[in-house]
Amino acid sequence: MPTNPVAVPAGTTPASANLNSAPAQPPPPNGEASARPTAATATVAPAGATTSDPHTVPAEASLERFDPLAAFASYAIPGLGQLLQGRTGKGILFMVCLPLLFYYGLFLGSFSNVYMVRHPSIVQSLYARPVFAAQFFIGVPAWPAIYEYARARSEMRQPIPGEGGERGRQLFGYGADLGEAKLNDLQRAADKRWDLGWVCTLIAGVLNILVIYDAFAGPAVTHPPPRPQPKPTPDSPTTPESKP
Amino acid sequence: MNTPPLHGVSIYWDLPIILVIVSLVYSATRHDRWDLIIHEAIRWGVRMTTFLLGVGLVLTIFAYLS
Repeated sequence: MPTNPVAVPAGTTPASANLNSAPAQPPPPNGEASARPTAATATVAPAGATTSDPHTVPAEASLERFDPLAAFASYAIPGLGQLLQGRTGKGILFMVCLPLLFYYGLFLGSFSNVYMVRHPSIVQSLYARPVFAAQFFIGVPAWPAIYEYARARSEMRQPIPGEGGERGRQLFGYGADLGEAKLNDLQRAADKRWDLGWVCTLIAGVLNILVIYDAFAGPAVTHPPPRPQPKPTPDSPTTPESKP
Repeated sequence: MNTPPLHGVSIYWDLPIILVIVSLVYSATRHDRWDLIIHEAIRWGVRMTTFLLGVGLVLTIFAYLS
């Protein structure tokens, strides 16, 4: 059935450019239907042009191909942004794999290897333990460490007896800097597993950066749909071989 | 002190888990189609496994020679 061309006035965004409400398209072979034109798949049409191609968005809407809301959702909970975009399979894959790897690493580290070092400034804390800069990108699971750091910093201004965070005072059960003596004990007792644990949490955080980008701008490698070949018309120029 | 988790189990048993998760997630951020994701994941899995086996082989040779 022929589709009606959609008039696109300048300065407006058609439904095809809306990231979350793209029209229904036939799914690609052996693949999952992409619910929106991504930064790499969508082609930009001139301003004021009419289009019936769902992969074509007007020039004014080119910046709206990016999806910061989905990117933040994928930061907070890995895969949530993809689920919001309708890419269910990938969303579930990310939502299962990344927290699994992160919490497995946390388990190996006795729930004590995701924390920020107690320092008066955040820069000093990250300089002392740059691993947290990667762990931070796993999203919500790393927020207890930020909470514990903020609480420890407020305690540094009003010191209380005791070294490091006490287990009984933690809000989420982990995330506090236990102090050097306790961490050394944990590392000695766990042999290499404590270090393997924070490596797993680091890998999960770094992988989630790629997931956030995937939610923000689509997959890194895309395959645009094949363009239909124009039918030859009687007025089209003939090839030299066809001439007598 | 409590016994640390999985104490006494070789850390090399964790490698397959990490390899599968890393290659699957990385490939899924590269493509949207599942056939391409699976192919890319297998390619990366083979590359990483080969690299790790190569490192292990070199270290074994050094340990044998020293």
